Amino acid sequence: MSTPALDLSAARLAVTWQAPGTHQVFALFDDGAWFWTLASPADPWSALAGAFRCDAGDGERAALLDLGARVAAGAVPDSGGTGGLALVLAAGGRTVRVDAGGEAAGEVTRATLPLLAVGRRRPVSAIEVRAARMAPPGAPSVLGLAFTAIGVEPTQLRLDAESVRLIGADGPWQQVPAPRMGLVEGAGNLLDGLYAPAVIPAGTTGAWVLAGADAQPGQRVRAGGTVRASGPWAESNAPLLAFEVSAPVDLPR
Amino acid sequence: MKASQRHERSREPSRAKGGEAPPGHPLAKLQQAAGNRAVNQMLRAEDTVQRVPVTAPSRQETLFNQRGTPGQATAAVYGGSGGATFDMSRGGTPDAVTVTVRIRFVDQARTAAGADTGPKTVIPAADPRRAWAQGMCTTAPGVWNGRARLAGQREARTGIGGMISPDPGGPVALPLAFRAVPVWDLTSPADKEVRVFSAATVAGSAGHPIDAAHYYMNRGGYPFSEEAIYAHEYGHLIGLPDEYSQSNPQMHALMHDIDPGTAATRGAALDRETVRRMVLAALTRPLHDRVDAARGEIAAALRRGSGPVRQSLAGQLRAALTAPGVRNLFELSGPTASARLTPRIHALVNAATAAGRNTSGVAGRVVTSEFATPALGALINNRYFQALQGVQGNADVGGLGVNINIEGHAGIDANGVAVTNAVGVWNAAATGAAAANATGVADRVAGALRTGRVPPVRPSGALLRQLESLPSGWAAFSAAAPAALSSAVLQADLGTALSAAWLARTLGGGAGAPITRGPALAAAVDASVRNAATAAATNAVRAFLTAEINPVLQTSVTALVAAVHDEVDRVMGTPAGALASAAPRDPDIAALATTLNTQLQAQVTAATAAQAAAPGTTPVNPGATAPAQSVTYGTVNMMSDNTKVFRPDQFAELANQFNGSGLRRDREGSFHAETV
Repeated sequence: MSTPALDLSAARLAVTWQAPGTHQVFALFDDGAWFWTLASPADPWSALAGAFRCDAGDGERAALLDLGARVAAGAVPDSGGTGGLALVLAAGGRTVRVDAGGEAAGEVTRATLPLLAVGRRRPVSAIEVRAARMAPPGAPSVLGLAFTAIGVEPTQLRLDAESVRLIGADGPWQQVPAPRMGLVEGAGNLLDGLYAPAVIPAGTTGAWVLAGADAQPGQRVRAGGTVRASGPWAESNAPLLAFEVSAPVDLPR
Repeated sequence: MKASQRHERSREPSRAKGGEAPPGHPLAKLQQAAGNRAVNQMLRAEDTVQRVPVTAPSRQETLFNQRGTPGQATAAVYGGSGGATFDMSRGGTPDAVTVTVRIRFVDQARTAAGADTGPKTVIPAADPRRAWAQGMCTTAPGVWNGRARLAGQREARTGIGGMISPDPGGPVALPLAFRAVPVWDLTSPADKEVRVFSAATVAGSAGHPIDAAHYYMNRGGYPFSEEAIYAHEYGHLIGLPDEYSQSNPQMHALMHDIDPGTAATRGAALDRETVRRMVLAALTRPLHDRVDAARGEIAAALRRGSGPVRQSLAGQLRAALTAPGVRNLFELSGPTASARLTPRIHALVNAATAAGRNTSGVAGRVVTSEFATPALGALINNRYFQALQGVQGNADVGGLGVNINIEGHAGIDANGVAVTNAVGVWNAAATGAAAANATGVADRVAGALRTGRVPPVRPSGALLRQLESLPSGWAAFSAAAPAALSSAVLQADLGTALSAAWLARTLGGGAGAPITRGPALAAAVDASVRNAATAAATNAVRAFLTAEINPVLQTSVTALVAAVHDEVDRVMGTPAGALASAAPRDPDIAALATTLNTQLQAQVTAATAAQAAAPGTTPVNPGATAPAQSVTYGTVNMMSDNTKVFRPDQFAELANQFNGSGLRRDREGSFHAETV
């Protein structure tokens, strides 16, 4: 879908990791650093989607600024499509692809790894998903996804009812019947996300009942949609970005 | 194709295990006539796991994106024609097709330049690399699961089989699952060989780039996860090449590489489809803005006709809330009370579910809220933008799936809200003559805006007229509720809302202490009923409105696409000298198509000139830069820069292999791949 994307034009250095099942972006601005995770098959990020703030120390910031300056100056060679995965580095209007296992990628790793550990503890607007099969009182056992707004700001998202999958550890998967009702919070208020955007207040959990689906031990639930990405821009300009999250299913003992 | 074929019968159907059917059973007669073995074979045939090894053809490809030296990009040839080998199997419940790649993991050193060196040895059994590689085999293919299936048709069963076990046939959908299994020794068959490096070797250090043949336990804990890295490599293992965004001349060249015989036809189709999408992109914002500007008028028209909806909803909600099953759910999953107060819950629920404030009151509030201009406008904007974006999906260009990316955007977010100015071709009809053309198209497609007290006369098919006519079909709701607002639907939604609220409290840690005061319990029960009723009623009304509005929007967009299709074909299929005399059906669309085709051709001409290659070589010289392009192309985005695009053509070879593998069952036709 052609929609406004993350505006990284003011970033001193932006790093994008994209691959099947992965979409994460780190950007260093003059007034701080941000990390957006939108899809990842790896823990702890697989269950998360949204925006995180990263505090950069002087050393880390200097290293990233130096790399950004070299990208902007054309001093970081573009590795092109050499058959492996690539990171996309952007600075000063210039974009280069570098091999995931290459020297520049290693430089990015060393500089950003500590920042991402900090960022994980500083969600701004993000959701964390849990999956469980439970039996509410008086009702049959149901599979549900719980979306908790873990940031300090509300999280706005839309859910793709057709995107829900139950995936076994060794590959078998099945599509979950499209739910006809969106998220509901603990007091019973409809947050939605299907017919209208769901706005989940900070600290609030909205549950999504996946009727007609059953889960076996070891399975994960994967779901997707769009999430409003907070960042160094006005809230009215925050882009809506596609996300994909997954979580193992907790089953009753 | 396949070198050999083996069928593993890993599971016997329970009905065949006993050998003979009970006397008098129709099977017994068949066993007498045809023999036990034949009958057992027949019954077993659809309940077993079959496995065949296959070799998917792989081709060399030239990527025009090598820029190792700034300003001197060179073409490079990647891949090989040796084919990708793997196993395909079919079976399980539900019936599925599984692609299994056997990966031999070995120990071998690399030189400082990254070349393999020294002896190749077995990774010891206790080595941590084994557990790590085993884990990769489990998780890396996981990204591929849930993305595609094979679809085909099964003919009806006839003859004696049909008499015993009638089967009318029908569609067959086989989910595609992907697996990787490790091979630890040096001699057993394997599809791929990979060197694994321990945690002591950091990927990315000198001589240690990650690629399809070299895996690293230590990749620094980077968020670009090893699962993602090896999921990409897994794509190569099932025969998929890397392909990246291309300019128009590069895409033409790539089509030529794929098949010179169809390149001209495909190239012409590609250009026509490109211009169609450019026209539709340019019209997206003007059309969206036109409908958005009329949101108040549309909402007012729908509100005027909403009486029967409110009346119907109130009656059905009353019936749903007083259903014994629903009341029981409220009692069990509502607020918890102290032991002393718990006996009161039954009466409180009965009172709350019968109260007018929670039935007709809720229905009134919900209809007022959902038919208000902001809510209805947001719904229409979202659905209309989705419909307009839907035409920008993958294109079928002579049987080849192609992503045609019109660079930029309409300035509208995924909710359908215009948040900024349109960019690129999407903004092409914002000013000048093209803006006048877009206004003309919007007048016909959506209808003119109301500027005074009297509504304008709009064409019968105009979108605004169609939307505002919807309430004419709602008058009958006073007598009979539509399915979307029926008591049964509301009961189901009430149950879902209560279950979801309980899950949210349980998983979110919001469960409160038991209530110990009577008035507080009464208020809590009443709130529980009101909230659930509001949730169910809101959901039902939103579903109802979506079901009413969406087809109108889709029909309008479909008609627009057809009109654009015709005009682009006329503009691009008519010789320049004859174009003036070929009267267009829609002169505004024709003018936009002409303008945008001229823009495309100018960019194509500039890029072609800039990238012209020496005669006798590839059609495109990557060593020269080209001017910026408004349109880019890709054929396999999943293997490059798009995380979620899994196109059917990426699984098409698996369908071909499946069709020729012997895994199809009796009466099944050819299968094709579908993404899901």
